[in-house]
Amino acid sequence: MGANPIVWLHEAALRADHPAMRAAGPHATAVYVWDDAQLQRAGYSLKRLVFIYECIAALNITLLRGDTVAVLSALKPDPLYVPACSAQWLEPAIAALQAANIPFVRVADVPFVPEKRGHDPKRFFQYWQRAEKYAFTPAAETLPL
Amino acid sequence: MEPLPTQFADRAALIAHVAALAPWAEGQASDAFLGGPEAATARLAAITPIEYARTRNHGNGAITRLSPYITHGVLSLDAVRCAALAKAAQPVQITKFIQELAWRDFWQGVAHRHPHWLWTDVEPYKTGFAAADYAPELPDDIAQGRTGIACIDAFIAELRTTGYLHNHARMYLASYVVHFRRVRWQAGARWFLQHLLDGDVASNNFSWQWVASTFSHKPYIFNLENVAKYFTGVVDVSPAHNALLDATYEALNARLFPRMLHGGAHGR
Repeated sequence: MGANPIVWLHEAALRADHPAMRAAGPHATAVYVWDDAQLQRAGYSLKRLVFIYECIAALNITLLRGDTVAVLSALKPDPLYVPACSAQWLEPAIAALQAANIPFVRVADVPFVPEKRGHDPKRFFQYWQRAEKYAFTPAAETLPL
Repeated sequence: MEPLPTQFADRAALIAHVAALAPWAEGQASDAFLGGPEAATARLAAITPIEYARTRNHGNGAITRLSPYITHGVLSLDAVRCAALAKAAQPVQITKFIQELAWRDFWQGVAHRHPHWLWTDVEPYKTGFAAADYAPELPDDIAQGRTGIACIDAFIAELRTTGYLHNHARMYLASYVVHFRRVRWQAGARWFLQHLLDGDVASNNFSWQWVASTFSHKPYIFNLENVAKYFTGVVDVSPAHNALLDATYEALNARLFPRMLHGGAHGR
């Protein structure tokens, strides 16, 4: 645990019990960065922006407006806990944070089925053949492979 | 950096605040979905996963409308699974429900391993046409919901107003855009991501590619008979107002994919 743990709760991780929060510990600060340029690039309609804002407002977290990397860098996290997701804006932001020497920890959400290294199904039925035996079991009861 | 408020007198004040932050943002707030864990928990408590298996393809079926909360991480797939399992005596009763969660997990995994596939054709179109044969931009009549096809315009209006669309209607719209209007799936995918509250680039874009046939064995098409089967009483399915769609699959295959000699699209 570093001296200034901060959790970046971005738009794909808007809940208080995300594993990133647990990983960061009870004294960590959780922030959301309202990045106008990023939101405008995404082209979200007002209804989606309102939905996101309502989700943020329901959490007891700090909401800051500004450029994502600039804001997170200025907070001097040690380390920054980042919920993993497939959104395309995440990787450039992480690369920029790395370039700024911000230590970060990527934290995956609760898995739906255990990951299997090297498993790369291209069609759903290939995925399902392996996933089916785990898919009906709560994650808490599933042992990692 | 500028701290922003998280306490408001009411929802109207929050909406006004967000509108002032983003004057460029299109449209109005949706009354159909409230953000936050309270609304998510209420919806989760109301799911009927056994009924879902029987009725999910119908426009008025027992779908959950949980996806905006899943996309934004308010609910994890595991939390939804646990809630569904608690409502079934036997897990097999909710296989379809679990599979829908699995589809999302599958798409997320594909995106994680192949992020460059998100916006590029995973495979060639299997329609007899090359990617260059498809228009790069979404026509304005589609964006505005003024195609003149009653059911299509109703689905577009719902998308624009509520930020949500039944999955079957998403497939119809995607098929209409790509195959009936010959527009690249990327243009439609971008449009959906603007409006859908659950817009997730992996689920959205790969589903568009599935319809387009660039990530499936054949294109997905539909006809008016199919819309009427699932959406009668939900949208206008009269032949007079949906003439373009009023055809057999054989006729549609010949019309939409004239360069294909055998096989053809699948519909459902």
